[in-house]
Amino acid sequence: MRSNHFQFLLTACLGLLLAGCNTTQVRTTEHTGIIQESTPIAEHLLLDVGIGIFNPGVDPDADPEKTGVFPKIRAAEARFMPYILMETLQQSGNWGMVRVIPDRQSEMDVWVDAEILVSDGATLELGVTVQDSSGRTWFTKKYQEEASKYAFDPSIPNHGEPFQGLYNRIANDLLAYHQTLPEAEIVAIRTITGLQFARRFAPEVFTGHLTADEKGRLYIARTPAPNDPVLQRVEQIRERDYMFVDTLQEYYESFVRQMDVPYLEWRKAFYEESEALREARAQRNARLIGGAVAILGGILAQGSNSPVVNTAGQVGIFGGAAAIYSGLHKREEVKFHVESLEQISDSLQGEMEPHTMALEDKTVTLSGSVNEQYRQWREILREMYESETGLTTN
Amino acid sequence: MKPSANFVVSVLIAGAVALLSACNTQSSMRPSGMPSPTSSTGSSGSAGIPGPTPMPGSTSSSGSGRQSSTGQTPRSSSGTASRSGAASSPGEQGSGANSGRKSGTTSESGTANKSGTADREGAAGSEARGEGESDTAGKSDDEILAEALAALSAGKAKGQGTESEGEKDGEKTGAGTDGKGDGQQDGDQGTANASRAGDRSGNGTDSNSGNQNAADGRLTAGLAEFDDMIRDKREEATAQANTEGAGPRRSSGGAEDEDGLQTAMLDRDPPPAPDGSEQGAGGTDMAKAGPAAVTPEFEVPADVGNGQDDDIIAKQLREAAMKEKDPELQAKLWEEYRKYKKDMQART
Repeated sequence: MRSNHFQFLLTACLGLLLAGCNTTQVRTTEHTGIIQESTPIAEHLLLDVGIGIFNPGVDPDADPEKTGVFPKIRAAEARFMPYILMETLQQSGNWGMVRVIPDRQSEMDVWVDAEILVSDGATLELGVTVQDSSGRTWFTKKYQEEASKYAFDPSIPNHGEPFQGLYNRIANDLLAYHQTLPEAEIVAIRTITGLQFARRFAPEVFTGHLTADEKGRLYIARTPAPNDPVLQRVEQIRERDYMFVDTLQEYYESFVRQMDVPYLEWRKAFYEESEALREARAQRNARLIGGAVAILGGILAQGSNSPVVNTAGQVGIFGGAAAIYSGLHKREEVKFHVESLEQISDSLQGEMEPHTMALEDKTVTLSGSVNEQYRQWREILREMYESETGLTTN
Repeated sequence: MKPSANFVVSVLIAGAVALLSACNTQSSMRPSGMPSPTSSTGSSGSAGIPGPTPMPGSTSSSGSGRQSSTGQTPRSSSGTASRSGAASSPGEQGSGANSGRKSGTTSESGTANKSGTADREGAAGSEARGEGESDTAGKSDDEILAEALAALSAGKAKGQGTESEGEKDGEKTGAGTDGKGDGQQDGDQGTANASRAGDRSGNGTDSNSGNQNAADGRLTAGLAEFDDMIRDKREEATAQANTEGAGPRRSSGGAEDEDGLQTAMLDRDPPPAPDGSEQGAGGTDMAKAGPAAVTPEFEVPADVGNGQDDDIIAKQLREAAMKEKDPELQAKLWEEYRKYKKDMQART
């Protein structure tokens, strides 16, 4: 019986200790550098990479108070992050043309699609899928990185993108897969891309050049002669398509420039608030739980015949009550941090929303004009085909 | 017939052919910027006029037309001259025809009508003609004279009124498609092609070629319109970016090399535009279009040349160096540029 009371007393002490603990998180972040091919890749083996607008990973109408995610910021991030990945891939020098292209509006050799799973300034997590133009999936992988506190330290100049390591890892994985492909495969991917483009504009002529298996993967059935006149016309159009895509890049670049500084500030503030919030939450939980345990242990210790144990139990009860009180205060602090996060996020949302909308407007308007022109060109090529062959197409 | 009469007739023929050649020589003096039609081989005088029905054999001839390249016009005044020169000496008519074959001159179109035969068969006829004097020898002088005069009048008519067709013929057939050397074949076929041309105009293969030309014209116009539209959009985007005063981007720090230099964008060189000019396709920046697009306000070291033969990477390095304000960094960029150029020269 006596030993039981000692146990209760010990529990109360442990509870108090728990309540008194301050949580300190030590975060180590390992920066991954980008790998560049030691020898330059031959031009005919350079693959063009298209990066789609990321899936924001949140319902645009979701309530931020419930989800902790601010949809308008996510919408802006979904356009910002692909651009950073594009820059990373370009700077690696391992690829041909790398472009951000919404809705796969052009034909590229490799496509990178991603969903934002977590993005709160302190942590970024992306689900990434890479495919080539034949429809083969290179890989699907989750990438997660926590920002170093130095990433937002104003005393460190030119720290760059806080999650650059994550983008570098994506680029490195792309390169690693690329290196496993035999040369013939790479050439085939490029050919398929060209035929896909040609098929888009002259389906009467080029549909039979590609075949698909039951899984939808494309293979080359035959290749057109390099001096095929229809192909030459299609190539003229493709040059214009490059121009269209490049114009989109200017829009995205402008958007990223507008977003860059306020977004960094937001991430910095969000990071600090998130850290404070995380700490406050941890302390709150520890104090509430520890206080409850201490009170419980103190009450049970009251049944002891020993006055020492009784006294200690009383101390435990009072201490536990004090810890719970303190935990409740921490709850207020948590609430304050949450409100702060909302405020800074609202501010960024207000700042970014017009830019995001303007970007969308410009993109949609340009795409509309371009698609109308493309429709006309398709019609002209069809007329030419009919005129040359005497066949009528639908 | 007396030899002197033969001689006179020969001289007349030679004169006729020389005149004819002269006519066609003039006709070939079309402005170089004029668009070349890509239709069938011999639309005599009515390339742009659609005929009612397609003609048998038009596929092959229009095929060669499709493959034609404006840079490969085989017609030349020298070719025409050689033909007329050959004709001036009866004894060398065969070789004259041969030289015409080689050069694929338009004068064939002029002489062609005299055969007046149908398209495909005409080729065989022309071969016979090209082989020597057998046809000529079998005819009376009067017949030869009549033919020569007819040819002359036909040549004049073509030269004055329909020269462009002759030229089109030459261009298209001269492109030499399908490995058959159509340009030479046309030279060979001589009368045949011309008769084909005549028949075409009547039978309406030009309907196809006319449609093709019209469609090609629309496509070209559409491409030009598109270029304008994109240029406007880019200018608009640039102006807007300047107005909004968006600051420069922080470096994303993707690829830091030893010198801390940000590697320039290493995009693939875009395919050149059909006219050989660089349209800026494939690059994010319009200034990538080439050295001509680089503003001359930046200082360029004397030893780096004018950058005319730069490839896309060299251009980008050059541009980055020219735009760099930090002298130290700029010197490093120029060094990179020199190193790259040197490597490229060593490879070639």
